[in-house]
Amino acid sequence: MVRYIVKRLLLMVPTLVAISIVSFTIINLPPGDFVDRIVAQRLTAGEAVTAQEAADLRAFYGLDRSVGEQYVVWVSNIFVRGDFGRSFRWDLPVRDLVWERMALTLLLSVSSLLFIWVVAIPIGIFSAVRRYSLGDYIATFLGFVGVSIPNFLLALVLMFISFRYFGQSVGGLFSPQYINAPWSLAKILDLLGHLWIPMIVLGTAGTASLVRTLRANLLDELSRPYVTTARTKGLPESWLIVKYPLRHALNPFVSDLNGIFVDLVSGSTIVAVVLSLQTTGPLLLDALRSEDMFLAGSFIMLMSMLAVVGTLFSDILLAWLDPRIRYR
Amino acid sequence: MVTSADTLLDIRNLHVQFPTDHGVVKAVDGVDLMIARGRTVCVVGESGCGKSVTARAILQVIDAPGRITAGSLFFSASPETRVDLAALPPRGRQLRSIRGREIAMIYQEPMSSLSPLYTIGNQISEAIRWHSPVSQQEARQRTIAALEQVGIPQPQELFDRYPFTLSGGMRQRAMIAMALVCSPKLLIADEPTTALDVTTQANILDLLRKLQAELQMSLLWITHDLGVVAEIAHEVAVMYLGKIVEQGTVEQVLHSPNHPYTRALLRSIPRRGAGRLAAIRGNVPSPQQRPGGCLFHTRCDFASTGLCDRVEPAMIQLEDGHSVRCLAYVPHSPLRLEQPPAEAAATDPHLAFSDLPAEGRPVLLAVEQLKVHFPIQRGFFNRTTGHVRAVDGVSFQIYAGETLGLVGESGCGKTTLGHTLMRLYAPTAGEIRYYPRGKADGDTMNPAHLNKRQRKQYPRELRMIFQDPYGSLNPRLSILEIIGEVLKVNNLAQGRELERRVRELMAKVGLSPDYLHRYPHAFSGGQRQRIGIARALAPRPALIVADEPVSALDVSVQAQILNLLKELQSEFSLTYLFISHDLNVVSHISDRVMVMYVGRIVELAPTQTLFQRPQHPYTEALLSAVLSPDPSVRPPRIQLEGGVADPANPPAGCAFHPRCRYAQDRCRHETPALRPVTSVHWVACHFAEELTLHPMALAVSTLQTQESDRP
Ligand SMILES: Nc1ncnc2c1ncn2[C@@H]1O[C@H](COP(=O)(O)OP(=O)(O)O)[C@@H](O)[C@H]1O
Ligand code: SF4
Ligand code: SF4
Ligand SMILES: [Mg+2]
Repeated sequence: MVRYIVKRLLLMVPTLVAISIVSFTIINLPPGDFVDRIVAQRLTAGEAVTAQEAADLRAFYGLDRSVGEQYVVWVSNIFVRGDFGRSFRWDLPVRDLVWERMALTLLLSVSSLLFIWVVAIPIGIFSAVRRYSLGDYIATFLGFVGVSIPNFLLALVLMFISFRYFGQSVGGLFSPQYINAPWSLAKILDLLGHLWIPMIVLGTAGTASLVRTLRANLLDELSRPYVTTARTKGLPESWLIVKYPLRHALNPFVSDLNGIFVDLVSGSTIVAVVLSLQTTGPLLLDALRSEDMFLAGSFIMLMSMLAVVGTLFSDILLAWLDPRIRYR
Repeated sequence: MVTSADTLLDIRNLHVQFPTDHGVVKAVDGVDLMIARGRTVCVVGESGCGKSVTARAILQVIDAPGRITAGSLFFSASPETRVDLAALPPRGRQLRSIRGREIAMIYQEPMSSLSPLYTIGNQISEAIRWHSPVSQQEARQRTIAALEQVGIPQPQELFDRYPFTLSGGMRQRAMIAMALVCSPKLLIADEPTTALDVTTQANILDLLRKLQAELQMSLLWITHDLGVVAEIAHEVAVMYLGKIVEQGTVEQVLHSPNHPYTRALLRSIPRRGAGRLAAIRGNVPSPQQRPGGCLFHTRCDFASTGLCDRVEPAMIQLEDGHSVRCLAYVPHSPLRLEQPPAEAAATDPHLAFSDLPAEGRPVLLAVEQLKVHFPIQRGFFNRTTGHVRAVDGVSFQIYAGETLGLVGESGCGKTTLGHTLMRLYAPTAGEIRYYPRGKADGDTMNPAHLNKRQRKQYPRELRMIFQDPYGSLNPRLSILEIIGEVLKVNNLAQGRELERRVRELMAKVGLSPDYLHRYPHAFSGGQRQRIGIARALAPRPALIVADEPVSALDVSVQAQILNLLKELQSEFSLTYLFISHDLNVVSHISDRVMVMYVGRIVELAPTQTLFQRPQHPYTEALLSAVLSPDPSVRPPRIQLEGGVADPANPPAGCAFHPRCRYAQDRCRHETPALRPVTSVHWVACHFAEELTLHPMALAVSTLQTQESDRP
């Protein structure tokens, strides 16, 4: 197992390098740069910008160097000093803009994922073991509703409920008084109080589809010979189901875990806009629109890395779940 | 006769039914069976006759939606107690405490019956821990003891291994250890050796017989193989469509079979020298179409209209413990069960095939020093760390019109060799030469370098039949499309002509052309194999490679397919390379036989010679593992220990030396070459001339004569 993990970690290195190159390249694709935009803005405001001024600006931001040099500077700063460069637009270090939002995004994704698992697995087991029972039909029906309801609608409904019945501020992950406050226990509690809405919104569709997949997988597994073997050994039914078919049935799901993870991270963008959450999505959209290249590049890179880490995580989980993978 | 104190399990009037969309399936329909302490009872019959369902009913582990609808299962763990298992709730505590502890069960598929996600030790020791309050340490000790008991060489090490890292035989041993670990009073074994090699099967049978005596355990053994029955049973019950049709001691049933079904099963066993096998007509009827009257009348050679299709026979006692369900045994019955006289002539071993040197015939295919190696890739960059030498220097010739049998345990490279001839693998070294009109003609094809014309012609002339008739047919295509595709791809026919050709082919292989538009799932195993044969036959091939074509079939259906293959061979002058691990089948169909071990040919001889005067120790061991359906023939068995050597790392010298009982020093360094000992007999053993080896025991003939003693 340790060997397997080390191997996977080493394999991650080239992937990460590739991601950084791709992120940087994508940002450089659109014609014109940040300085062109400043010039255009000033022009519309009626100020003339001389060629000399523009060149000075470029030199200041390092935009006069070759693309290769810019890349090397960018990456080495990240690794040496944790410095992601400066956001032109906000005139702040990218680091300050990004970290908190990354952490919130991660928190939201992981909690949605846990929500999905905790809700879906018991329902899935129930549906499969009591196939065609009333409970199974209800679960199937709710599953359909869960998959088909659009996230933003669910977000609006839940926001209304929380405002109307719990008296919470609408939207956001914090009540207004905590938004710029330093971290404290009260702020954390406030965060948890707000977290459940996006968690449910993001988790609902995933829960519904996991219930359906799990039910189908488990039904397949329940008729396998090894289940009968376990039964003929005299194991109690509930123990037996969790130990044998469930673990088998989770297998295809875990291998897909990464996909769900990526979905969550990207899906959270739209929800975040609707709920006005301070996560990464809205900021990234904004950065892309204004060609704030260091900010956008750092974001894309960090989120891709999150996806790579998610894959690693799901692979390790899979290897733990299914020993055959370790032997390959 | 068994007294009631000796009775361990008394099955009375057991009925199991499956309610399905197409009506109720009566899988078990009134079975009475008694299992005495310390005895072995075999239940035998074709697949779909309700054997497995009977076995599963005992522990109430029948697949949904089946359930016991009537009958009792009286189980007496000790002579004083008696509990009706059928009356216990299937998920209740009482039945759970019997499962695994008093009654244990092993299944046919050792791979799918063990979960790949837990170690062997985990899965075995869990059985102990649910039944008795022992520490983890003690459970481990007992598990290791059980693994040792079933002859696993390093039980300590095996404890922590996962099932998928073991060979089939090892897994089945682990399954047996798991069943025995709580010392059950009854072991139910559902075809536990069917999926194994003959040699492994022989080892497992010996092991279970030994353990049974040691542990004073009863065995209920389900099988379709009469050889296994003769080997292990005390009592036998023959089952057909959910009912027992004949029952008695193993001598009674196999030496003087009375029911036409039992006799037919015995006659359909393929054997050396038999011409046409006496196959049973048709197939086991589908459970929705159970015939009225005698269940067997639709396939019985002696059925009398007006009687057998109307009257349902009851079980009739013949003598102490021997009973039969056939109307011919009713006192004053007008029915007579006499052999049709034609059968006798065909069984003379000297008429059926000749020992004539096949060399007289033209060579159709020549293989020269063929090697097929597969790289083993490991590590970060998939470096090649070694090679699996699946085929490692093989030379032979196939003569036009002959059947060349190819035998060996699984993993010896048989399938790889077959697939390489079909161009599914490229040779690593060596050459294959195909001579469409015989070697003398000069037109040769080398499948590694075919020109444009040959690239079309070669796959038409060499065709393949596969073992798994279902897996090899696309379930989404109709029979017309499956067979027609071959004709279309090769531009042999189109439209109406195509359909006509397909109908013709179907008729040739014994399928009704009415099935033209049906899909594979609507056919039985035997019928699917007929489809596979029709598809192979479609472009008029010269050579057919048949890879275990009858291994997945029941004996009766097997006999039908073997007969069909022989008929087609003479009608279309076909040449067969017939791969099988079943030596009975090979001895029946082949003109010459080639024995393979770890990628090499170790012996090649005309069938008669190979079976009567084997000259390689491996051949001798294979022959000794063949089971005879005659309980009085028990030739000394040569135990082949361990598995087939790893073809990635074969032993130095003679690859067989670690398992060879004649091995000497020389065998450990010097690889024996395949050399002729007579003009037609080739052996790869240093001591071929010195050794006197045992031939295969032949006993089936006694069964032929005795069976007509009765009415
Ligand atoms: N799960 C099931 N659903 C419906 N029919 C079944 C099921 N399992 C077995 N049967 C039917 O029960 C009959 C007996 O099957 P089985 O006991 O497996 O035969 P055998 O072991 O002799 O090959 C067959 O006709 C089969 O179709
Ligand atoms: S009763 Fe008739 S059909 Fe049935 S086995 Fe006897 S002879 Fe054959
Ligand atoms: S060469 Fe030696 S080891 Fe090989 S089969 Fe002959 S006697 Fe046995
Ligand atoms: Mg069966």
